[in-house]
Amino acid sequence: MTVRDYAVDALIAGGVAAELVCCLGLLAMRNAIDRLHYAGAGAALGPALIAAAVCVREGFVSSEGLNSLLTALLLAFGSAAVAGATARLIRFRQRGGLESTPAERERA
Amino acid sequence: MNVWLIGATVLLAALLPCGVVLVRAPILDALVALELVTTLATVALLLLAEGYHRSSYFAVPIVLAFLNVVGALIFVRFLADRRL
Repeated sequence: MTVRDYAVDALIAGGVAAELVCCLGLLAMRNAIDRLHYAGAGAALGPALIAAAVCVREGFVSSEGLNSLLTALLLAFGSAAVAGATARLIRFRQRGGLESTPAERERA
Repeated sequence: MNVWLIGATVLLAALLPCGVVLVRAPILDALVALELVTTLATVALLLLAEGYHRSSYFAVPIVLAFLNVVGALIFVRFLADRRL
């Protein structure tokens, strides 16, 4: 095995481990906002590491490398947009509106 | 069986805890779990495409990553109007 093979294995292991941690976090947390943080991390860190593994193995300027980079970018930016919309929905459903409460304004 | 396929298998097994949250948790928590499930499926498809050495398979995770955004925003839009 070459150094590149070890790097690929390490990146895959890191990506899969990141996704597993996010799954366990989703299971362990008790409210939707806390769970949303784990879902967002799962869409950013794991796919980036897996895409890096594909790029290290196939090369950055290759069909596989570019496709995997595009997938990771779509997941990262798309998940950020979805997380924002979901957080607004959660806030709206739990508090009845998006405005901050007097207690929150006092804390800030 | 190479390391890519092993990683994909592990990620498919990781869908189980998300499925528990999907089935048992309130609707907003289930929506968050659904977003993570789609992410896991996308990454698993990425690993399978590389594991099988088929460059044409890379189109599938790209489409799923795009549909992840669209589907989740549709769920958010409709859940905002309903009292569940």
